[in-house]
Amino acid sequence: MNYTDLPLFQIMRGKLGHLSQRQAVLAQNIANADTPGYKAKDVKEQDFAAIASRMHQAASMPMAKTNAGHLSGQPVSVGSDQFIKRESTYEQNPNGNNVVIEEEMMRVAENQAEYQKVLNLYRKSVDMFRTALGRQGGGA
Amino acid sequence: MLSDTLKIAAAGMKAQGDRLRIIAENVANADSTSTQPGGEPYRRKVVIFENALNKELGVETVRVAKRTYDMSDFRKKFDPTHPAADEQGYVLFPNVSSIIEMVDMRESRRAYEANINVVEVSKAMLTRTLELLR
Repeated sequence: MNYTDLPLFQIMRGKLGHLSQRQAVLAQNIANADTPGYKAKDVKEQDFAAIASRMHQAASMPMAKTNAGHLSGQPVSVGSDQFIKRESTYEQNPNGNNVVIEEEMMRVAENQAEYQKVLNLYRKSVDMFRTALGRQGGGA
Repeated sequence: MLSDTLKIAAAGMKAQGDRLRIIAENVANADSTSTQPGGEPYRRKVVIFENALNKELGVETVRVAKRTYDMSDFRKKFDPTHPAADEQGYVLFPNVSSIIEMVDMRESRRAYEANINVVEVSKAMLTRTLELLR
């Protein structure tokens, strides 16, 4: 088993995927800041804490396998992202566009910070494996 | 996915660049009258953006839907000595207002900068991800 299949890594990968998807949606909003009738979109927030705890349960209490052909429990995975239209924004243009560039920039910055946070966590977790292997940091 | 983000932002920059070009045309032609008496002067141009699906990327980007004309009234000035003056001595000037064009230009630039910012942020995220390899 690859260490990247561990629930912790799976959830972090899922979150990174979710955040980069969100980044693309925010980029779309900004690119369409002057498109008549365009409505700002967003990606629906996923409850990663709940997914993580479900994954943890699935990992710590696996179903008993009495036969080699048995499947090992329910696979828990991060659901795909859902797009939503942002309902309430600060202002709306007479042409029906409700993108507020300042708001979108805030979200981009927020998204970047979140992404970096998860990435740092991922890195630290990999470093823990490296420490266990006796090769601290650097070199694969 | 992050590289898609860069392409969406690039499409936004391209659209704003097109808009800026049209604004430049309007400003440059703010006083372009007709050469014939009573003829129509330069008519202000406008761009309209649309949200379009880029089939190659599978994401929605922005593009210039069409370039049309601003059909508002021309400015009228009394100047019988002007070559383009009509029988009453009035000359039609383009319906370009330099103030509106300047404000439009600022807005366009702001949108362009916002797109650049998205590129920078996404690039930083991508670089940080690639650093995981080290």
